[in-house]
Amino acid sequence: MFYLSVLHAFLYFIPVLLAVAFLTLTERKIIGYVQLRKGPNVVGPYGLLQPIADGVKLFIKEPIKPASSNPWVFFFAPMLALILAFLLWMPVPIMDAFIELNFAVLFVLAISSLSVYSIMASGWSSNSKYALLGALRAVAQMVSYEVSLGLIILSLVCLVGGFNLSQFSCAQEDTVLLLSCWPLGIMWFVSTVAETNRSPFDLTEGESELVSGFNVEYSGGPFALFFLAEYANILFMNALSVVLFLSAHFTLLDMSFKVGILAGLYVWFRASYPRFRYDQLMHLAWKSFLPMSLGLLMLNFSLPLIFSGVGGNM
Amino acid sequence: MATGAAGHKQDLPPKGGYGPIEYARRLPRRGPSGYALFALGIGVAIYGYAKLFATNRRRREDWAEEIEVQVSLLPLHKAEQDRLILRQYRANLEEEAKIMEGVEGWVVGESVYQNEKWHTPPPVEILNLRPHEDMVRKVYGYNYNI
Amino acid sequence: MLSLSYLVGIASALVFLLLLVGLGLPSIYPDNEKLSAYECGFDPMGSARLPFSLRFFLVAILFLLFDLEIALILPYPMGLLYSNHIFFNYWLVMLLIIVLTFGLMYEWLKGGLEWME
Repeated sequence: MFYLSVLHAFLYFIPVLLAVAFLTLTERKIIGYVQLRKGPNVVGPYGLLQPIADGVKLFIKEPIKPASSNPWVFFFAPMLALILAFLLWMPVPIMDAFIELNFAVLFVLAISSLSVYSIMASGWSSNSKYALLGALRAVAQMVSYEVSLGLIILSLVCLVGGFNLSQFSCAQEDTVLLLSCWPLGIMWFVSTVAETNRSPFDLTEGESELVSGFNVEYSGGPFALFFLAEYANILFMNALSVVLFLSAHFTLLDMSFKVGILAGLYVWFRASYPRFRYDQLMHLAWKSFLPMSLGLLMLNFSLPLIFSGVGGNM
Repeated sequence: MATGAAGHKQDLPPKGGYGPIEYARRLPRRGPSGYALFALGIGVAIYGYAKLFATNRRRREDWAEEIEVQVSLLPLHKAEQDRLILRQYRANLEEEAKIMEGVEGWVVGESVYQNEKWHTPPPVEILNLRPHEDMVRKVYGYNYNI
Repeated sequence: MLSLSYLVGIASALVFLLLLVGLGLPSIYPDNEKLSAYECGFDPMGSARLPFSLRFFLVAILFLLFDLEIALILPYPMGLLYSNHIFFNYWLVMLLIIVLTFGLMYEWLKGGLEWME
């Protein structure tokens, strides 16, 4: 029985990795067609086996451990990143959550703020200037956007009346929360893009100044772990956005369709928008999103009390 | 005056001259104005809040109903619980009698307390002869997976 | 159903397995050039432990402040369902938010949010 449960857990983790693999393929295809070229189309039919070839390539490339690096932290950081990305997937209610947590929102907030440490550890332990600067930028950016993420999620929790993610689906039986909280929804989506260091906000890997950001020194397997963690985080953030704002009902098809649309939006952003300037990024977080989400927090705390619309526990 | 090629036609202005010069800016249609969009957004938000609060009221009623059901089922649950405990207690006493058969001066089921009051035996005591998992499940309830 | 701590262990085991594959499968031929820190193809100059801008530190402090605020407000929604003093809680939370808004205004006016002068 125990071994079956372990197998069950593995069968929950492996599809996350597969989804990540095919998300990279989707991204390359979409960006390819946006730029009027075909994207990967050699390996397998329509290039469908490209991610597997990529994975095999990454895992048989030589992993370099720079001479000046701090080896334990250097290899611990990518592991931590991927472990946290897996753990984040645990309470997502795809039909039934893998683990039903009463305080799933808190769990998600806690684990996602831990993932800053993996970036900081990788940047510091590589003992390279580019990595250090990239890690500093990434940490400052993620930390800033986490504040607005937390405030947005807090006002949603107050509207729904519970920290349980399946309660969100109960509260959205009639209308999606995006309708009532669309300003929050827009801010949330932009913040998730910034939180996952994705393209208009990918200051950490500004190729022109910092070669690849905090993971310059990584290659082969450890780099693959970082890569997987990053894309798993993107997919998870989209799944969370769907749960928080768009969940009418959790059939698997419905949910994956919505998640796919949001992931497509991420790719579209990456294909369309130029990179932000760093001071604009910080101003967006601290001068626009934070005051706005504070104000909307007060509104969303007051409205349920005024109109007796506090959520129940069912 | 000698003409050149027979069919030559010089580029001349069209008959009636050129039309008026279009100097006005022609912007594409910009869609509804900002105020209209803002009003639309507010309207959508109001509709969403109304629906959400209606849903929440229904959810609260459902919750209250659930609690009432639990309250009205409480005597039944309590009785069942007592019955189970007493049955297990009797089984324990029989087991004790079997174990302590040859011991002189042993009174089966004698209370360790000085008074005659009944106390419900705690799970540790009542389930001591059962498999360990039963006791764990009893003590930690259904939260054993957290 | 497994407990969460088991799942942490299983995830760690899977990731460790992946890392072991990544470290053990390829043949490793290190040399001096490969192992030096990357610096656009040049030999690395000086220490990589750079002094960094104090702005990052300031952002970290601000984050701490506002995350603490979030942590203080977090129990409030549960109080809506289970507390007997909903309106007392409400005014306390409002007071907290207003005080922190004033803090943000102060920081803004003092120029703490400006990234470049």
